Amino acid sequence: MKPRDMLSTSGRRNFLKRAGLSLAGMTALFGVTIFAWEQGGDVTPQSGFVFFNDNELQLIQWLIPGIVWDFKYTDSGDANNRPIVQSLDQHMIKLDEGMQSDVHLLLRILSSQFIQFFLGLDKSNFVELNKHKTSQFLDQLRHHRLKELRAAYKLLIGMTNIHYYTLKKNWPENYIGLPDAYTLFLNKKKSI
Amino acid sequence: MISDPWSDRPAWESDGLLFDGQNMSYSATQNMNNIQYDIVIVGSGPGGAVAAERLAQAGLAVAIVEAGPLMTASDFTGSESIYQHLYQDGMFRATADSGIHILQGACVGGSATVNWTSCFRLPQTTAQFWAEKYHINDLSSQLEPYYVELEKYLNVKPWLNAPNNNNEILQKGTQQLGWSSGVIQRNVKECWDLGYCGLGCPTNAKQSPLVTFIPQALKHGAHLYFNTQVKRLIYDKGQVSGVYCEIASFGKKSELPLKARHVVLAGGAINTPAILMRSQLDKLNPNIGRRTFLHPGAVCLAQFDFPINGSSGAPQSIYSDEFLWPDISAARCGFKMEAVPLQAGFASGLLGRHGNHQFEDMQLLSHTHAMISLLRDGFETESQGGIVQVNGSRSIKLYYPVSALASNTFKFAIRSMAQCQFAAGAQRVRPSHLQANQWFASIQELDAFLNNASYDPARLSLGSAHVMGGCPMSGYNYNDSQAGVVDLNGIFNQIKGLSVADASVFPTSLGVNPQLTIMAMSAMLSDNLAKNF
Repeated sequence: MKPRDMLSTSGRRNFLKRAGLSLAGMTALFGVTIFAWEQGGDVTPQSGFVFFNDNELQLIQWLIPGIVWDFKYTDSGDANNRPIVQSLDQHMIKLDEGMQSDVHLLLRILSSQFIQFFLGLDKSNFVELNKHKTSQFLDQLRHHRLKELRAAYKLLIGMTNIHYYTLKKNWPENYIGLPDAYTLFLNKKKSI
Repeated sequence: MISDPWSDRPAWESDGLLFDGQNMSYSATQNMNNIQYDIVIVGSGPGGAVAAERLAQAGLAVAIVEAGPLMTASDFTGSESIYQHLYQDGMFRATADSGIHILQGACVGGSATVNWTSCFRLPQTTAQFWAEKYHINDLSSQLEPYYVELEKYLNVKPWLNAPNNNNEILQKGTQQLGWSSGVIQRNVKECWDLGYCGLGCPTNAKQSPLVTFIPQALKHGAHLYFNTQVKRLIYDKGQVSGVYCEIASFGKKSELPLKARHVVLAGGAINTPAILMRSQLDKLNPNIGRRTFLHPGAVCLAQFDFPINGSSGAPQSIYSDEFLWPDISAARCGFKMEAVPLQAGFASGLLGRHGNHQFEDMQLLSHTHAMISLLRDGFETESQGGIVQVNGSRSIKLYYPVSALASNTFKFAIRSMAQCQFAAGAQRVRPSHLQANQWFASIQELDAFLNNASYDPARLSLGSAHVMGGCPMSGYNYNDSQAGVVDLNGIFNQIKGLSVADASVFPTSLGVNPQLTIMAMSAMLSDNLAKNF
């Protein structure tokens, strides 16, 4: 395939089909052919945490307000976002190594402007995204013609939503949580 | 509250990797080279735990090796942050294309520690299909005494308390439509009806292996290794002699070989074939890892004008088999309908979407109902299940194609669930589907959507909590074209000293929640193994 063919829709699709039509296949191919030079020891589990690269951490931080539209989050760079990101880090360490690698490569791909262009996504720089734009970007992933990106959407919103609503402070109104009787019992048990 | 068999659990020593019932230590594993077990059981879920208890009770020296952590009632506080410790891949196990989300336990007790306590026997129709197709004859009668024993031991009884609203909707809807429904049997004792079974039972009411078979096995001298992952089998000249394990502690991994005269694999229907493949045994039997079944389920959500509070109360107490065994002319697979509990984090995953839509949906969570249809896979020519593949020692992938027949079934199942929800008074419904941008106020509106929707699993959100097959049992000789992976005793015949005792031996899905049948099958296979040891 000639490079210029890859810029057409069918060219992109064929290219990705040849890549193996799987998230792993796609990310691995991109990882090897385009980003190989970037790979190194920068994704290192330490003390039970996976540390994202700066651009990946930033991407997640910018995506969260778009994923969970909590109006209390007026500033996507708010330090309140940090516990969620840490929770994601804790979560990532539980993924098998192949999956961790897929997610990191996926984040790297999504944060690359060249790849955004290649996939026909929003070309804005992530550091400039506001809630509206992140939501728009996620809409593009959700309805993207490539099933790998739809799968990526499910993974990203699944991870962030679950961890967001794990925190009691984010529970919706009228959600009852664990019944009072048991909570009382638990507190009593703790105090003994 | 039921007394806690783990209340005298000694304090952790480091990560606490070896537990012999009295002492728990990491350092003990450093001098293990000369310990020879009779049996090493890989996995502590419903298959492995039952095998451990029976084989230890038979006087054999047994080790249970579990990759996940030991977490007990005192750890189960109802916080959803625990998911990442209790489920495979931190609750994000999925098929290779991420199309089907798989909930599978990853802790001591396996999926039975985190399941929703539904107990069913092997359906007669499934047993008959296995007899005709795989020469597994008289299975129901062979399993009968084991079912009787297990049901008594685990206090398996129909849930006679009032169902929670989430289940009552299913009951009411099916009654309104004249469809069949039944009360689910649950393995609970003095249940508090909290509804948090999926996060581990905080009161020990759930009679899971964690509070039954495993403590009993330890009393009979078994050893439990946890946070210890079996990577591959050790064998030479056609005889298995143990397993290589990997222990993760203090942020580093070390290898631990465990010697045994016989190894029982019970790591679940994805991990068991993966261990066989890492051990290169798929070269001896190419059926390993093939025909993996999931009961893949589509979900339909509904909003009501009264509170449902789907997070509270027994998660599953009502089922409907109205469409489980369709006539062959129906051109679809059968499916079972059940309710789904709605803890906030878990519900946010089912509701999907993002931004203000997601926020608004979550604000109505207390009035939201969820139902799932479990597709009975493996019975039709078009339904051949998935394939497990391993990528070196790093990762396991399950490739599971969704056939046109399955897509047709999902479409019909979503419509049926919505019909049921509307019949019970739902104001609007929405399938868990990426293309469903809105809620639908009538079945006609839903039909218009369903007729144009894609059923590609990357668009339709599918889930599974029942992984089966991959090492199927067969009455045919292993070199026959109809052969499976293990024989009728669960024995892997191409090499000595190896058997399988988990859901991976099922040659198709069951059509019902599998835990009770996994236990009964494991009990039967273990008794046969003990007799011939």
